[in-house]
Amino acid sequence: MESILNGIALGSTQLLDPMVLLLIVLGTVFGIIIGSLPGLTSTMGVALLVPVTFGMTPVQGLALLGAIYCSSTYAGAISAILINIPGTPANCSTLLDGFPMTKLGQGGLAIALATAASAIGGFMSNFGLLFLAPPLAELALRFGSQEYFLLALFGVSVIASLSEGNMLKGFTSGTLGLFLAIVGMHPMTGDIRFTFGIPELFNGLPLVVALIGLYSIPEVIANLSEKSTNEETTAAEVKGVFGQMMEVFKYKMVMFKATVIGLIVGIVPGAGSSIAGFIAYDNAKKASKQPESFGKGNPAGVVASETANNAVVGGSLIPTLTLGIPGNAVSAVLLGGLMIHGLKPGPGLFAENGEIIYGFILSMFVANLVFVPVGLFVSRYGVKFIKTPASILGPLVIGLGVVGAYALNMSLVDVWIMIAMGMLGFVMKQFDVPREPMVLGLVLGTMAEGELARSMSLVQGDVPALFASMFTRPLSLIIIGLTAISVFQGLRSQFRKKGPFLD
Amino acid sequence: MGTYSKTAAAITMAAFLSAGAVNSVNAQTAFPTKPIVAIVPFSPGGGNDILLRLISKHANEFLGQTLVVENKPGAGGQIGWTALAKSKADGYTIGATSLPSMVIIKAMRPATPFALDDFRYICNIQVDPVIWVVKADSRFKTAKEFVAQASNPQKVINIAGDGPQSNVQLQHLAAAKALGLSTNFVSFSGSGPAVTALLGGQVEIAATTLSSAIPNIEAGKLRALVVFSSDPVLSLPDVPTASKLFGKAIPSVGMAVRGLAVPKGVPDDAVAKLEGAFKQLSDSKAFLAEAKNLGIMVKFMNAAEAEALVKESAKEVDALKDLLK
Repeated sequence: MESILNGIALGSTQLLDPMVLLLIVLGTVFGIIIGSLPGLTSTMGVALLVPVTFGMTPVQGLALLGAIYCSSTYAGAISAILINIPGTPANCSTLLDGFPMTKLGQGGLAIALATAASAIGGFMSNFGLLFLAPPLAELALRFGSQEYFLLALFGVSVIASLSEGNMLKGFTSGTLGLFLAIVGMHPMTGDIRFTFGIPELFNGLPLVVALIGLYSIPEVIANLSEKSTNEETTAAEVKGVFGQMMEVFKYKMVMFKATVIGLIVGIVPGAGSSIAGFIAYDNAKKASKQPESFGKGNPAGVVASETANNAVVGGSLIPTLTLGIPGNAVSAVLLGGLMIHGLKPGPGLFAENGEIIYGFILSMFVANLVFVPVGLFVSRYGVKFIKTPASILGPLVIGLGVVGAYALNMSLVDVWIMIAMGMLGFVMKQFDVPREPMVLGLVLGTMAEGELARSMSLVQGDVPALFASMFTRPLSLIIIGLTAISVFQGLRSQFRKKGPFLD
Repeated sequence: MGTYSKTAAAITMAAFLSAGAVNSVNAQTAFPTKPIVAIVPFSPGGGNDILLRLISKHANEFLGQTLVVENKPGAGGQIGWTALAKSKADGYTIGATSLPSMVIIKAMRPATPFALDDFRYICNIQVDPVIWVVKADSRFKTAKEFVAQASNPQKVINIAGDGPQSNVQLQHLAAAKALGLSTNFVSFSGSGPAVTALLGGQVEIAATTLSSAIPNIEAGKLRALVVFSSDPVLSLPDVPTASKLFGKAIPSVGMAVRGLAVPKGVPDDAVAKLEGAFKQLSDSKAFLAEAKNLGIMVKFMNAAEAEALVKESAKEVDALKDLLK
């Protein structure tokens, strides 16, 4: 504890550098632009600016990169809420209630809540990073392959909740996602499956590319084909938002749980912020007294998913900084940035470079404050942006999607994959098949398959031993318990409605 | 060991010569007159990416132009290397190479649309040998103890490592074959996750690249048992090399050797200019100091040596590739 306080004292002197503060503001503006434009992701934003930081001191460089990470994760909510396209994969769950709120004319409120929730989630998880990094890193180490697998199963149970109203369509979508997750190399044997010889698919369907297509293209086609529906959606105005932001405190419990979910999902390497958003959303829905209002514009849905995905930021940096193992793609790029500045992530980092690391962590508190006014300012004009006619907005969004899909891996094949997924998404939208279960299936399928195969390999094919260890390792038991509760709650709400299970 | 002290001696030489050399080379040829793009066939944050970004940070001084890193990840490097092979042969597109990974790809997937002789190898800069590593309090005090335990086919020991079809796996399987071990290689998606699994007690031993385990070794959490390279490594002088310890030839086939290449057909003077500039860069004090801090083992090999190493690696991998299937 004393060493942490010393670290804070050391780190805060770093923050007095006016250049650092200026860079946080610049990083925030840049991150908000990158994040709110569909197709451009946090990973890309951080990667783009790593070379720019070469000439800076480590704290300046890291403050810039950290600010981009925090603000872009938040800003993806703006386009999710206003145009039903998640700005980054982290915001997939935000559009579930965010866009319906816009349709109800509450877009301004949705953005205010998303902003406040993101800031609070980010702030809380940064506290976790600051004070709880060593114990949380210990927890991360306890997650073995079987825990990852069970966690993926837990995530799959969320599909049922997302499919309420039409189980058959939801499950179809989820199963399709799980199937698409099989594409590519088998994680243990290296056998290549369903790739049609396209090397871009060897590592699996590129998730971000798929998401850009799945959301951008159907939305644009739908907007262009419907006659001037955007007259109705123009009711959204971002005014008096500072007052509206206070409404977020109606959802204290939702935010608390979402922060815990985000932190834990964040420290689990490879799980990613989209999963955290979905799990928190599901959790808020199940705890709510009116679960049926979710998906129709319930503010709690926006608050839950935005708190959770920003809480992932601090969580994902815990294994990155303490173990040298990145929690997700963005923190992998950040890790590279750290190393270029001569820092060696790993157990010795806090002791050897405490000044820099504490400076970096403290700078992210500032970033979480700065993106509030900047984000609201941008949203003001974002709302005007959606008033532009579909004939102009549509091509713009498609153009951004193409650029985004290309820029991720500098690959034209990825653009074709994006368009193909867009076609699939359009068909799904036409038939009212929800796309979110598919996203979950895609993300979790890869994880579930790989981790199950690895767990099997670790017990050398002894299935009874695998089951035995699942029920004897405490962490496994906890996850199994949570999954059981989630499935039970889902079934109960089905029976209450006395509807057929598969309608 | 010898190479390193030679490198050290070369630093002082280079410091003397570099300023003059840059000017004279510039006078001979105008190349390069615009920024050079370096394709990294892996995602940002990985070993190749970090090496190239470090090079790019220092490149301006020696090339007279900026070196722009462009990540083209996918299919274990295949996509980036294919792109490099097909890029314009004017010297303005170079790419990161990694042995034996590019050789393994070609051996495992013969249909891969690049050939090893589609490239002109400029130089190699970094070597990163594979090690066997255990937790500090492991029951295996030495590599010999592990080998003794792992020779019992009734009680197969799990070993974690980057995989499948990686240089690490190839190295481990080559060693297991030479020593008659019966181990179960469990593939993880990178050396990082394998280290995590080791720290978390999921496995008792891991095979990783030296660079990915070194922070935890220095922190006293992990212990290296043996290094698969011909010479002991400077950062871990007490860790024996495999061939010396076991008294038989174990090829260091999995040692990652990272360097740079251009597509075939780049004019000789451009290749020579690049080779010279990277030679000076890898001898420069500032670069060496930062590389050392990051745990990057610098070992410069010139164009001829790099070319020869590719051929040698192809031969070694070809002899062992059935182990990976």
